[in-house]
Amino acid sequence: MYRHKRLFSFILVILLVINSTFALYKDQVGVIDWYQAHVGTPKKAYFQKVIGRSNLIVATDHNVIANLNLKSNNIYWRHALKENDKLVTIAPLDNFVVSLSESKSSNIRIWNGQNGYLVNEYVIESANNENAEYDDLLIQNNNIYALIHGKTIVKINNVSRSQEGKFDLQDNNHSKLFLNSKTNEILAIGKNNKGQLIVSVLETNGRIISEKTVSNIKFEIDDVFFTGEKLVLKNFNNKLYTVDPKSGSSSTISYEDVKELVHVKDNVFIVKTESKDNLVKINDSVEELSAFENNDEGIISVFTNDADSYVSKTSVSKKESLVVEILNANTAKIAKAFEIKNDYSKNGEIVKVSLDSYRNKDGVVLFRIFTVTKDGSIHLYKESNLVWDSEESLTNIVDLKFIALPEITKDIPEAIKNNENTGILSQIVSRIKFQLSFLKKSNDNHSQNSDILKRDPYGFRQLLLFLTQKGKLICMETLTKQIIWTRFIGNDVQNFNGIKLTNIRSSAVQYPPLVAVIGTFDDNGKESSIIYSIDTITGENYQYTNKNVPSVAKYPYKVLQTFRLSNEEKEDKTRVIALVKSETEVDFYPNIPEVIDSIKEMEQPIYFNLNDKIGGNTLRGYKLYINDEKKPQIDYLYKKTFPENEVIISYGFKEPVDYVASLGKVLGNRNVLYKYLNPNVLAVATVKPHDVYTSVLSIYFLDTVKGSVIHHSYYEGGGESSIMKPQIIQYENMIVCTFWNNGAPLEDLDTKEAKKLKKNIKKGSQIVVFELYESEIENQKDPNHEFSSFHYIQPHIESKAYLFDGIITSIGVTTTRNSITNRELIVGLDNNELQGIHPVFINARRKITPPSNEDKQEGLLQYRPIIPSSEKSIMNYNIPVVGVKNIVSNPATLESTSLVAAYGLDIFLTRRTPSNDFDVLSEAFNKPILVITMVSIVIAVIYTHIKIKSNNFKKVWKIQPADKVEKAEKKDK
Amino acid sequence: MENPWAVNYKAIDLSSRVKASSSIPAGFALSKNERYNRRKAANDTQQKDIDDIRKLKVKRAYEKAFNSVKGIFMNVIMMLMSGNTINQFTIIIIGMLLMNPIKALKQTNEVFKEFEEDEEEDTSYLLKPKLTYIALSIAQLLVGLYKCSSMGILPTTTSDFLTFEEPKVYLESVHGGSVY
Repeated sequence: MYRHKRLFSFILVILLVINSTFALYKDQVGVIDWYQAHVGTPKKAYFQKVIGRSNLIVATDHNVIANLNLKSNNIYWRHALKENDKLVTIAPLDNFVVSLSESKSSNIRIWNGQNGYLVNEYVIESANNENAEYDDLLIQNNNIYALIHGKTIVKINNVSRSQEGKFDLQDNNHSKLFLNSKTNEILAIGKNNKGQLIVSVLETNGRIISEKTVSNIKFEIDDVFFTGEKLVLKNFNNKLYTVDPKSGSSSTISYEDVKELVHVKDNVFIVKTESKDNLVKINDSVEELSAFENNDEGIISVFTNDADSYVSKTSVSKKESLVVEILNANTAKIAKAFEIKNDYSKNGEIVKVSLDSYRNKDGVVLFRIFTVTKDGSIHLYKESNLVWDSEESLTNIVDLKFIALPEITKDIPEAIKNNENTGILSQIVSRIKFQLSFLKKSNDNHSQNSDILKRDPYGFRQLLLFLTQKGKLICMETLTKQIIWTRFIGNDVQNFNGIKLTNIRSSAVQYPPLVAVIGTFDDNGKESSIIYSIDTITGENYQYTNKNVPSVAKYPYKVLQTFRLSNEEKEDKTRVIALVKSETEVDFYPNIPEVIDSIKEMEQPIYFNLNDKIGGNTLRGYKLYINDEKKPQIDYLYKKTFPENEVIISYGFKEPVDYVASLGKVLGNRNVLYKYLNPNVLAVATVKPHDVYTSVLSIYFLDTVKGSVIHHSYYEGGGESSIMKPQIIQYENMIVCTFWNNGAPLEDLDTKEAKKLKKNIKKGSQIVVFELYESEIENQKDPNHEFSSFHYIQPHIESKAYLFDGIITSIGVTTTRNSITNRELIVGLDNNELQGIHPVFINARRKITPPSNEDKQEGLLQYRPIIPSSEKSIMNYNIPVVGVKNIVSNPATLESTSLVAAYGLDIFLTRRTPSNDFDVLSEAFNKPILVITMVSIVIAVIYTHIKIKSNNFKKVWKIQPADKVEKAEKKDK
Repeated sequence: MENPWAVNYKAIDLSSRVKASSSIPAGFALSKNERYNRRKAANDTQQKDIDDIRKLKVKRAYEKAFNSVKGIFMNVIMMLMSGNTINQFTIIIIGMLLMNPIKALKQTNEVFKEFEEDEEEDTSYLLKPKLTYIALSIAQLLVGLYKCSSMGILPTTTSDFLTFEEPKVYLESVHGGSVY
């Protein structure tokens, strides 16, 4: 027995030790990255009971359906529909979520609410795309009625999983479905082109009972509700009406002015009037049941299930703390009132509220409040406590800037700061003193210093500053994903619309880094522009030393274009920003006379472009200088208009940091092709429709100083698809363009020519690579030391086109500190992957013939049309980075490493080393062994040195070792 | 330690050799005339001997000169075998190919010292073998350089000076882009 006891205890111990472990895949080892999944700002959010538990289901502006965790800030499941599959609405059905989305067809999908699996999908083809947004879902028991294109009603039975009917209405302006549960009839209502109410009544088997038009009420379609018997609606004059759906007869209800009408359940409504928000019953007249105690401006939210119905009012008049009052609609009594906190300066006001009611184990009714704030972020409160909040505003990023941290941000001695006044020696002395004191301090309290934002030795620690379209600034740290600060500048002005961020001062020891945030806003109906100067370490407005420079400047016009000049404001060393008001007027920020003087001193005028947006077809060039009257003057230089039917579809993108390490490309025979590094080359892609091919894509390279076309090439069949837009990236002397090729026409397959075409023009993604060189002849170089666009140098251009297996939605390139490292092209794919393409594949000099020895020396592969993709080249291994729109990179201090950020819906940040970690010791490197070897060698050297010395000494003095002496003595004897 | 088996040409004592060739027994007196004739004959043979030895020395010096570059063919074979990639092996070979001839050139005088005569200042008879020696060493050096150039480590092409070239100054710079 004793033995058994031991055995049992042994097994027990083993069982205690057993634990679930997480393992990495081989390719994940050593990869340092972070990832943040988003869903977007909810358009529709509701709480749904799935298998007895509350779930928060959201449909967002980014085409995402998601189930959010109620306990912590993560996502149970989400589905991001394709961009061309517009999510219209969602509805709950038992444990399922029904979604209706519009692509070429209308798609009804049923998702499992618990795990998000697709249960069923119904694709309904429509003859035309008219009124595609007039869609609605109605759930009755196990039947789904879907209104499609305002005309067709589709009935789906969720038990038999079949489409039971498809009924067409006469008018195609219906937009809402209601159910009359008493008579089991379906009501489709809408507003026709004349602004009249149309009401159609159908039986559930599709027989149309009546189709009526009610003429005399002017109304908004969102203000129409169905009580179960009658339609209740509010007209433009805030009067209430009831309409009998079958006869179409309408009658006025006498009641005071109604600001807003909210349907609760059956004939119970919330009526917002000038003074009060009442809970009312509407039959032929209005019967007031109860009212909210708080009469401030507020948002009404309704929660109903079979047993309970609650209405909440979240007052929004106070910015920071909001009162939530909850009415029980069944008993018409106040159920609860509590206060929730909202950080107004970071989130703005609350714009959307969803209410949830649930019972805890003891049967006590509790409430949850889900809010969407103006900036687009979401928050979940459990009564007055914030459970979590999520920065969903990060899904609408207009610009992202990497900001290098200063080396030290605190306690810098005066002598270092004022380096102009003191001598070099005193500077050095104070510097050493300071460093010593710093060393002491860091030894004393290491933990306290760690929160200071400062640069790490390898430059991996940087700030990511995001600007969202609505004006939220979010500053994150690259190492830890921690949000350093957020600020919602969209509060300050109406309808803020972010344009871009501009670095106006990079970080130095004595100055914090600054950015300018540029946006437009609505100044009482007048389009205006605004600039903020923001300290990126703290997020606060930067106060200039010169009191004449405001940290926030408003301009009473919409800027056409802004750009940063190379001039600096003297005192604060910030770069000057030019704001182009019109083709003849420009403003400078800061607008002080010294700035004008410094621009006047410049030898060259400032050239700038005002190009058409995507969809236009003209590029314009101007030059800006300060005239003799000390006024900025703009001269119009050129206009480049593409042929009439060509439309600009994409402009080349350049990384702000683009150094060139080598001026030429070294060939296999060690000769050099000199790179054409004109910084003013702009690549433009245009597309025009074509009779034979669907479209033809043209790529132009223009010198934007003088507007000349350097190169033009066209691609038959090239263009765009609904999910793939052409993208161009320019770096060094390379231009890479990706586009969708529609392929050769399919008609007339018999002719030889057509067959050849079909063979040569493949349908699919295509990558075209251009390399620009000064001359075709090796070692030949333009002798001028200065490059001007007005000299005539025509570059030699080599190009190759490749096929790519994948739909490219975004394109980027790695940048490193000195550009010695290879530049890796990064493509974001439609299947949520980010793929790095090694430069050896996208080389324009690959030859069709087998490579010669020289080519091998150069590292050229033989040309193959397809760019191979391996699992290893996928940067995000098994993480789905959804909806990537932009890929931006910034160098770290280590030459081998580039920080790459991809954003769109999700945010992904990783480090790329295209030429491997050549400047970092590998993980496998054994440091102890090295140290041990070194130490032992040193010891051995010292030992032998001493030994030899003593030996020599003995030799000279003919001292024999003791044992030999003894032997010799013995011999002598 | 000197090799007891090697003949040191420098150490050969000519006078003792003449003595050894003397066939006159001890105590034998020569007449004046005879003595004169004998001395003359002896002087003649001595002069003849000196010339012979010089010839021999030059011959040996030539041998020495050729000897030092005998390895050249082996080096060439090694060079061909090692290929043109840069690795430890080729670097060692190149080091050898370049260092050996340079060392040899430095030691020219030392190598031929053993053929010199102690007293005589005139070493002009060694000039030709010395020149041959130098020429052959230079030839060996050239082989080494050829290897370097075929490996591409001689800075002879434009690409080798690319790093030192100044980047161009771009006079104009264009700002902006598409309008907002």
